[in-house]
Amino acid sequence: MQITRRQGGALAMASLLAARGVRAATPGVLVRSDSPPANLDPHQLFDVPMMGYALNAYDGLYRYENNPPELQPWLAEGHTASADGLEWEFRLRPEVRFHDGAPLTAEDVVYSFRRVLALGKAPASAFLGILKPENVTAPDARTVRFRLERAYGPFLAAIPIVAIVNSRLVRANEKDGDHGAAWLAGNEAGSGAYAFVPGSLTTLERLDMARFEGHFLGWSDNPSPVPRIAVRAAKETSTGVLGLLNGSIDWTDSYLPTDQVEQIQGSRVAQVAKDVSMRTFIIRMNNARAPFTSLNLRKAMAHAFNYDGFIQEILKGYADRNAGPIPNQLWGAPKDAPGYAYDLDKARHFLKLAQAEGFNPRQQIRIHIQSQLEQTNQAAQLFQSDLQSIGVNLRIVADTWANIVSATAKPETSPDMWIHWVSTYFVDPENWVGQMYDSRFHGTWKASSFYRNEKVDALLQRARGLVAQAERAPLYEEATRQVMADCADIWVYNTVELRGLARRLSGYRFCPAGGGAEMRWLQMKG
Amino acid sequence: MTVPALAITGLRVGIRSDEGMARILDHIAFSIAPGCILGVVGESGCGKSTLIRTILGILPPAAEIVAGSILFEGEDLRAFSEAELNRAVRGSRIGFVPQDPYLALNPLFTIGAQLLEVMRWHAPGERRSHSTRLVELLRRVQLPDPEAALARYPHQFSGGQRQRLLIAAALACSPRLVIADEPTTALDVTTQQQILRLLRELVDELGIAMLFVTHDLGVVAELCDEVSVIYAGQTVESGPTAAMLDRPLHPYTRALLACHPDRSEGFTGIPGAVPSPLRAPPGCRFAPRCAGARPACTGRSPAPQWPEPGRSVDCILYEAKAAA
Amino acid sequence: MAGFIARRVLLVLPSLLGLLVVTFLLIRTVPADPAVALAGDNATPEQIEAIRRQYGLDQPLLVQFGRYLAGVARLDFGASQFSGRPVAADIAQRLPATLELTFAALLIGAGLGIPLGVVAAMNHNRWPDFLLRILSVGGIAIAAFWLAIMLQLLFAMQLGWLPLRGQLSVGLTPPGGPTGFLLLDSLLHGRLDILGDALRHLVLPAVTLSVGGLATIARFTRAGVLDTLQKDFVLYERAVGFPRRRMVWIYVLRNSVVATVSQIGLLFGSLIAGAVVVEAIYDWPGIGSYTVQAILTADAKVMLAVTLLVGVIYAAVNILTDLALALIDPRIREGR
Repeated sequence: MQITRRQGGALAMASLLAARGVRAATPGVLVRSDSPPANLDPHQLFDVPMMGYALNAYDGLYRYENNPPELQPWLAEGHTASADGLEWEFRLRPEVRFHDGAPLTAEDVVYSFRRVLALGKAPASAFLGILKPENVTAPDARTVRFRLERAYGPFLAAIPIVAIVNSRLVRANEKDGDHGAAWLAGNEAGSGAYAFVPGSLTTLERLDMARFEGHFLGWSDNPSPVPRIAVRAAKETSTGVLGLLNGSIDWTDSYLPTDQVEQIQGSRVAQVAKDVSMRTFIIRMNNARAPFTSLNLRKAMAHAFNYDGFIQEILKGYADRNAGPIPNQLWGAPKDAPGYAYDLDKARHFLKLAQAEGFNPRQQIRIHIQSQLEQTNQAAQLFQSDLQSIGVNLRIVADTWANIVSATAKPETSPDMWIHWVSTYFVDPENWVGQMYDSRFHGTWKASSFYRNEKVDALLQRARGLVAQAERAPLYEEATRQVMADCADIWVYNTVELRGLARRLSGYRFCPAGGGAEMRWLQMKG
Repeated sequence: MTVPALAITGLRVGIRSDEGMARILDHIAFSIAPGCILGVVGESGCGKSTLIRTILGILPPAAEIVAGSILFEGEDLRAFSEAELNRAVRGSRIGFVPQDPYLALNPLFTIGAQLLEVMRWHAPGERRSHSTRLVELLRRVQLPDPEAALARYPHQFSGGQRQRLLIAAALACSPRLVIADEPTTALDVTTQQQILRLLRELVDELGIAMLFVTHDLGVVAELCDEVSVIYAGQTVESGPTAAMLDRPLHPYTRALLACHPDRSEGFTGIPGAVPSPLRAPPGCRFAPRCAGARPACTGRSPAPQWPEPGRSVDCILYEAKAAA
Repeated sequence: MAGFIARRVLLVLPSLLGLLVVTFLLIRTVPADPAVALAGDNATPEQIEAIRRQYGLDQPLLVQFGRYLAGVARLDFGASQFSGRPVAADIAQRLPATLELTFAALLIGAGLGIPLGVVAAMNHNRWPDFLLRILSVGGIAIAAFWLAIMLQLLFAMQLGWLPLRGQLSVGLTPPGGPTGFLLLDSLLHGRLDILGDALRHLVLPAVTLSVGGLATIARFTRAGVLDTLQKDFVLYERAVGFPRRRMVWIYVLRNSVVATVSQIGLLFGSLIAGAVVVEAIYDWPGIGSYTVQAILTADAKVMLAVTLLVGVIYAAVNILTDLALALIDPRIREGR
């Protein structure tokens, strides 16, 4: 299926050279082909599709903008934090209104944070251990106060995760103590630059949004904003690319296949935005279980992956080598750590050492891929052929995200190896090295190497408890160096996001948090 | 002299096969006067069905008429186009009663739908008058409850009833000739008698001609005015029924009569089997099975002889007599 | 006739219950835990455990199944464990699109396949017959994916006659209610513009989906007609000079389609399966992509509901098939 799809896509492109370029754009409507979120409640889901929706329909206290991302005051004008990092106070902007015209006050912010904690779904995980619902309070209509259980350095970085909802509207639709979860899953109660058009939702297929004239930022900085957005998910890459090329799609997801970039760039109606993101590609090893308890074997594996070949040949150069767990451009990533290079002689050397320790090279090592994500398969196949040449037997197992993640709950069930990305949920080293290699997170998929090093645990624990970046950065750097020296995983690259855009659009702004899905800055001709 | 309803002379039908063209009918000749019933008699495989299909122009694609003429009321049917045959001959001027009433009706359509379809096609006109006429005919063939019959399906009738339906259908468009293909073989003896009586009555009443194909000499004796015996695709003897049954001329006719259970003292049967037309023996096709065969029989085909008025026979024995 | 239908419906119920049990067990053999997907990327084990409790996933299997059955009996299929949305509402919104697509494909398949089969049989062993035999092998073997892209390239990209994807143009809003079927609703609201637009969107997906079925239908019809032509009544009908065309297209055909109609009932199952691929390529908002998503996220509630639903549709179509057969053949009607 995957190969057919790729061949089909290539075939489609080849024939297109002769196409006379039928234009199928809809005037005044921007058509997005990325997937809408599985439901519309930003407090129930927190993933790329939700960001693509919530960054437009909702606002937060702070927001990440630009690349590399900068944390900017948004609904808040600013904040103060106590020296011990436990008390945080945010001052709200005046005159912010929700889509229904109601004013946005501190009460709405309190309700939103408490709701996130009460629902306990994905957006809550950054706060569950450090914040109790009753400790989010509103001393007055424009002030919100948080009292944390313990100091938590990434707290501010996680603030943009929580979308502020219209508390009166949601409360009015609560049913059986569900915090309005059923209602908000199909409706909207935000203040963002675009408002959901009621009744336009087909789950995971389509939804419409209309520009909100009353947005608190105003529109004076944008002479020709997009009046209306129609999300129409394209499930097959080939269809998405064809739609982009005939003008019926204005905006794709940011994971265009690298082999389509040149073709799209050559078109008169579309182009590709290429932006370095913060999304690392990792091959995990189960450090807690033989054979990967052996450092020498882990090193042999790390030297056997053809990083340049993968990036240059398969990804056509659209990725940056990222030798450690933290994205290169983020603070906390040690600039001097060399990382591992593709070198089969070194790999053989470490393999011999591992054999001396008792590793049996005829033992089959299983690597699980996510079968709907072709790139994980390509990486595994490349790896397999190199490993074969040094005498290691790698077996590729097709699997799904849900299955793998369930298996990673315990080292006994977790795969020998598997492949995934780590995206930006919040822009902080904690999102990468912190949650991946602190042993307190064992049992979550992000920590599925089951790496354990008391020194690293201590460093990360301390970094987490501090507020100032200047104090935290050296701790994360040191922890990262140690994790790299222990060769916990195979770190491959940092993503270059590739988004197809109609040429009638301009003013596209990319930010690694949210992947550039904020539509407010876009200008559209026709 | 009146024009015969049907007159066939020198009819030869071939069928293409891997080994070339085989004559499945050869030297067929007979004629039927209006108001007469001609019985065509022969064993199975002798070409009776082919003869019917030839007259009606519905031979299988591999078969074709090679020689001879088929005059229907003086017109040569061979000159008719397929469309003309379908419109104005088959089912209209020539009626047809099939062999097996159980299989001949389309099981998925009502009697009315099927029979009226034919009537509308051959005699376009008001639907009402067609169904009235059909009901009358059904009554004439003594079908019980003829009005209701039109709305019923074939499987809802008994075999005898179905054969009555088919007889009515054959008469529906006022034909001049009816071809009946062993119409009673699938029926029990009592029903058989009733059907035969009905056919005789209808022929007499309507003055039509009938070609009655059968393997049963008993039926012929009861029903037919004249008989024509066919062997392996060839007419071997023709003549009035009574004379032929009393004094059969051709050795085959004699053999056939001899093995009829009603006639023979001891049931003898004819040794051997009807030869396949693909491997027809040279000369007289009956020679290999003929008790009185002589060397000359296999040398050439016998020429037809008329030893008595109204009788013909194709046998070398009578050539000698005629010559003498 | 009413008794006939009632009997068939009663016979179907145990099969559906069996289907549910098997599906429930099958889903449980897959290790994927829906609570994990719900808890999100940074979830702690405690968070996952809490969600598991909330959804009753910590209960014994039998209890879970019992609760589920009780819900189904009230036509309550629960909420998706992935999206939190009510499964019944999501399916109700998507099912009509899939049904419109599959029925359109069936219509094309039967509308072209039956005449093609008849023409081939009437020209047995001549060129139309050989052509059909080659095409039908091709039609069964052809990959829907490949065909779809070719059709998209030709009709949407090169010629620009038909839309590339979707069910309706972006500028148009579905008329809404009362049936949920876009074509039907736009007709009921007198919105011919929407009807026309929706039909244009339907053409390519329906043609793509129909191809395999068309080939099968043509082959079965051809075989049926060839078989019927051997029957005595055909010889009789020729002997009494039935009008040629009506004889073939009415009298012969009706006798020949019995096997074809039975086949259509079976085909419907493969059409729904094929719709998964076709819907994905053409971005058709049916249950196909919804189901794929459910499988990837181990969303048991959705998988169960879809399985049950497809089972019900399949059974309904087969009852309809039986009814059609009874209409075609009076002997079946009488229970012979």
